[in-house]
Amino acid sequence: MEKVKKSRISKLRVILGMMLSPASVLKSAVAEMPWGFALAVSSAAFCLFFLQTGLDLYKTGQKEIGFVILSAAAGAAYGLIFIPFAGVVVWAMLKLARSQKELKWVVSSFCLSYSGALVYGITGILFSLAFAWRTSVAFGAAGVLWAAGPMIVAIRATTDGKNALSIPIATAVCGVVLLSWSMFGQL
Amino acid sequence: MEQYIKIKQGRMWRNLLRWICFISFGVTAFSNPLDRWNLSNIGFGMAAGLFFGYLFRRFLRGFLGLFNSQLKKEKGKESVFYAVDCGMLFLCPFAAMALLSVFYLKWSMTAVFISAGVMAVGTASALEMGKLKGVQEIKNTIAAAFVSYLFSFVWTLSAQWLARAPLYIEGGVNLLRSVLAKGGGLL
Repeated sequence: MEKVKKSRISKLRVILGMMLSPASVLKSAVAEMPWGFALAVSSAAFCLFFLQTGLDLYKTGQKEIGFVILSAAAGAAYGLIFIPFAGVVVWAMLKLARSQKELKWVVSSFCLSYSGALVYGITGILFSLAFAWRTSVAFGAAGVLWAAGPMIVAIRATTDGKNALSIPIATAVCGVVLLSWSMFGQL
Repeated sequence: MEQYIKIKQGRMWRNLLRWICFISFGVTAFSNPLDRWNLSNIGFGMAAGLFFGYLFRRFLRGFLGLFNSQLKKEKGKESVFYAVDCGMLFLCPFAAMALLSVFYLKWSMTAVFISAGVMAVGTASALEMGKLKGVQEIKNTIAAAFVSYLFSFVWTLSAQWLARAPLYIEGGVNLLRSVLAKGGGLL
């Protein structure tokens, strides 16, 4: 009987790899990752970022605790809905340009791009709770911006390294993410 | 020969986009929140951005060239320049986000966009070097990341000091104009 060995890829290694060396992870591990895990990464990353924003406003007395919970929920919803949706839009656009990448791969790589934001988010929330620091900009915004790098690498991989296609798409996606993020934050 | 043609192709566009990106970074970094279209701030920002971009490009080329002497011998130093210039295209999304945040969202926090963009360039340049050599090497990643981190740090520190310069320039120009027109109030 032939035994098929399934290689198990450490999820922690994928998160750290996407943060530090996204090209190699995109090539080797993203296809193996379940949808749910990728969605959980972007959802948790934005949940922690918005939670830090809420906590900063709560600490300065500008908002109540209810707002903190609401902003965390809004962040989780944003990471769960908007980021995969952006991935679907880019996949559809690149399908027209005859990209061979599967929808699952594109959406997973978009969501996993926020691995760095998740690491920053966890660190930020620890500092926020333990030392009462205001961390939304230093850890939150920096983490979300860090995600732009892996996202560009993912778009580039989807277009087979064509800069003329990947750079304009990446610029448009990053602009839309920034605008939607600012609108969502004002809700 | 084929690779040489590829290196030559699109050089003008790569240069133009790089200049626009660094001008955007300079303009957004030294933008006056009370007067976004102040010519002194815009002019100084353009000059500072271009100067920073020039230095960053020279250093990145130099460092990557230092670690890839074999490639330089085989394919010429133009190949290293090509890798760095292609990597610099990764600045486009960050420059667009910086412009949107300052001129549309009216934010004043731009250092994070520049830092994230400069770090992304490091990753991208190492990726391009890997593509040229046919193998991704950790030494290129480390060298590019080191130069990027150094410049990100230098920009963050120096921008705070340089932010005062447009005021001095504007004051100097006004004084000179006053002297030329009315004898500086002495006549």
